[in-house]
Amino acid sequence: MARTIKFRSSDGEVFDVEEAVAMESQTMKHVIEDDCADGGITLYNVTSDILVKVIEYCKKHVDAAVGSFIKALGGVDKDLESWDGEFVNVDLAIQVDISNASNSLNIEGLLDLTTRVIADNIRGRSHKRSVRSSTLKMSSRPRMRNGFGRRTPGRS
Amino acid sequence: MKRRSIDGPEEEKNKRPRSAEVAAPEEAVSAAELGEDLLLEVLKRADARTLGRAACVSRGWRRLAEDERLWEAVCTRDWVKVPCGKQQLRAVVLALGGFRRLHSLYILPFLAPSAALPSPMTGRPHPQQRWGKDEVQLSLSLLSIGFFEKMIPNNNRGGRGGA
Repeated sequence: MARTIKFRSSDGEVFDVEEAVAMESQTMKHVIEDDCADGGITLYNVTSDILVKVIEYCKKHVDAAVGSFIKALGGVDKDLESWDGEFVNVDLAIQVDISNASNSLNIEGLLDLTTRVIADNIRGRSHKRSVRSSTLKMSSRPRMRNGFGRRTPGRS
Repeated sequence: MKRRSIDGPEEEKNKRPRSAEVAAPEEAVSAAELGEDLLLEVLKRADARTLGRAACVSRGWRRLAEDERLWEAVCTRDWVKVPCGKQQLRAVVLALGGFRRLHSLYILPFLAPSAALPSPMTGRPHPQQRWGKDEVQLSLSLLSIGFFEKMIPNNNRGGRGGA
């Protein structure tokens, strides 16, 4: 059954997404399984241009998984890899936005892909460039989940 | 003291081809922000040099980059086999000074020079040699020796009189 689910981006655009594609996102998977997806889902922190890319990635990976025996045997899909490489061939700012979206939507493959690219990017930088470049700043976004460190109050 | 051992080779890094610098102005135009969660994910996939350098960017970055779990991943990434259970290793190494210290004092100096410097072409480091049982045990032994040396009160480093 090819159920489609409506996703609304933060700037109001609506996208129809197949259920299988939407399930690539663990967050959305839980929402769908809990039957909360009937009225459509609004994503307040993802703009439409980023959502387009995310949906493109999910769709490609769902299609690739369905049609490929290689992955079932645990092998590496070279075509998919090169597609992924092309997919992340974008500006750093868009890279970061896609990363953020994949983090909040909990899409493991996309998160891994984009953060690896960003890690490669900062590998070549001196620490002064990281400071000067306004693309890599610590934002004061509240922490989403407990994890590695604790933010001590009073420290920047 | 520890910071210097990581920053030392950096001077050569700063003389890298200017082509990398040219890309910077365009990136500086758009102000994308890297949240803490995301930065942590990014640093998880960074190598040792990048992690050390990230700790020099700002206080916020330092707090993240000095997390022992990141350094544990960096240390154990190239080990063929972890000598004992992960929990046990973690408990022991953390008690003896931590993974960051282990890497900086007892792993980094032993890496082959070609592996320590990234390739000028792609900026990626050469594939690091994998460490077998002997190298791992050597560095862990040195870590514990270093720890116990510091423990001994009034230890004469210069002349080894009575312990």
